[in-house]
Amino acid sequence: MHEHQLNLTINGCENKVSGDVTQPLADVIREKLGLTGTKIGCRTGECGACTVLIDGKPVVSCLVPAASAEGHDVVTIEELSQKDDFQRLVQSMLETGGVQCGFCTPGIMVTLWAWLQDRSLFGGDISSALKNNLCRCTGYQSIIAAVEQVIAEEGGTRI
Amino acid sequence: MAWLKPKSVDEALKWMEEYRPKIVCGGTDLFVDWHSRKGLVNAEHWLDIQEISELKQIQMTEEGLSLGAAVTASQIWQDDKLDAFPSLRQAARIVGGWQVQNRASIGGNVANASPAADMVVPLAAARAVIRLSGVNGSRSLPISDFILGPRQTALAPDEMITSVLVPKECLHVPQIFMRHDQRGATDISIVSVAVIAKSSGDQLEWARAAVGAANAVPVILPEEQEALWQGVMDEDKLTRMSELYAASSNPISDVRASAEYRRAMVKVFTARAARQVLGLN
Ligand SMILES: Cc1cc2nc3c(=O)[nH]c(=O)nc-3n(C[C@H](O)[C@H](O)[C@H](O)COP(=O)(O)OP(=O)(O)OC[C@H]3O[C@@H](n4cnc5c(N)ncnc54)[C@H](O)[C@@H]3O)c2cc1C
Ligand code: FES
Ligand code: FES
Repeated sequence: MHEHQLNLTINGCENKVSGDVTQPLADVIREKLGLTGTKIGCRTGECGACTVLIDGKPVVSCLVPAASAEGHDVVTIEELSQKDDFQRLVQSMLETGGVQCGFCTPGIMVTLWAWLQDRSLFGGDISSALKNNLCRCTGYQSIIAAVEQVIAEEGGTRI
Repeated sequence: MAWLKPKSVDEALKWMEEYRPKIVCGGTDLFVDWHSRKGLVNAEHWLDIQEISELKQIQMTEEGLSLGAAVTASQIWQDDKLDAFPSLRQAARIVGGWQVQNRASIGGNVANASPAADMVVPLAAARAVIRLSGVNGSRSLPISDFILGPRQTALAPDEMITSVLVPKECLHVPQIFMRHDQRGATDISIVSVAVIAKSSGDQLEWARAAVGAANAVPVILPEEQEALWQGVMDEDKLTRMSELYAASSNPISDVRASAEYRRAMVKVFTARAARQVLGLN
């Protein structure tokens, strides 16, 4: 297989990475860029541990061939964690017990943050937005409680 | 190996002739478990059609609702134009989860020809038309002539799907998509059904239905049987109709369900969907 030069914009930085055009974006992020916040649980698109944002939308990065992300804006949990509203969500997850083993957490946090930017999606139902994120520990209630707490603290009510 | 990102269908066709590439859109079927599967996919070059803006449009036209091949499931459930064809919106909403919906295209769902594909089912019920463009010109095929079997289609090697047309008689009429699955999550359908019906008063003028995951290709009834969807529909008539769909199914047994159970569910779900559409609950 030929080595290719790919230009990927990840967390606002231009990165030149080499390798196969079809290599999963998740592998580039973890192995070539050392951003290990993005997890790999299944490589079949089901668990959501590898969730990143492409042009603001959550996608499973294990199914994204790296070359298809060229020219798009890729954002990982490392970048999101710099944001104040993300940190509010972190605090809330700690308080409600939304994290147990923690393996699903980065993917879930990316999805939750994306949904909080547009809460009308899924008719305002956060659990529908989480359908593509598997958590084997928490039973989801504490995760949903964390989001509800963030919304309540902002003085809003659930849609 | 080249990764080609054409900006127009013309450019795509030119490169198709030159490179004979494998088409890729969202990659949610192609790139599943890529490390183990890549040896099996015989592709020297790739044609990434996601950035062709003419393939990303949803348009209401004289003939009906036209959806570009690269339109994603999320785009479908979020677009107001789908108010006219809500059964497809319901199907798009159930494909995987949000992350998959943000990549999964309608063209990929049709081209992949999986018997369990969800967006295909309302398209089959509506007798949607698949529009194809190739190096040698364009053509249109009814979806039932395009999907030929599990993972088998009428697509020529140098051809691509450009759009899907839902005929206008199936727009703005009562309809529903229902799926029977085990977990409701990132799951695959056991049986799915779409019913579209036009009534005046208590008289049913016509109905069209399709059943997914119960056969090699979506089940639709032959014309003379489908014409029986007419007049006053009572429970007896509904039972007879749903038995026709069950009889036309030829499901497989797999880890999700036995063939026998699937056939029984075809009957249950066509009747249930029809009852809802006709307001018989
Ligand atoms: C976790 C998970 C859950 C899923 N759940 C569901 C579900 O519930 N229901 C369901 O129906 N599907 C489901 N899928 C399958 C998949 O998401 C859909 O079939 C999707 O619509 C495929 O579109 P794509 O753009 O990703 O296709 P790709 O993977 O890019 O392509 C699929 C095939 O179609 C060909 N192709 C793509 N576009 C064209 C075109 N325009 N012209 C010609 N050929 C083309 C490609 O060459 C390839 O052979 C799921 C997938 C995953 C990973
Ligand atoms: S690793 Fe990507 S969805 Fe599980
Ligand atoms: S906390 Fe363990 S999988 Fe979610």
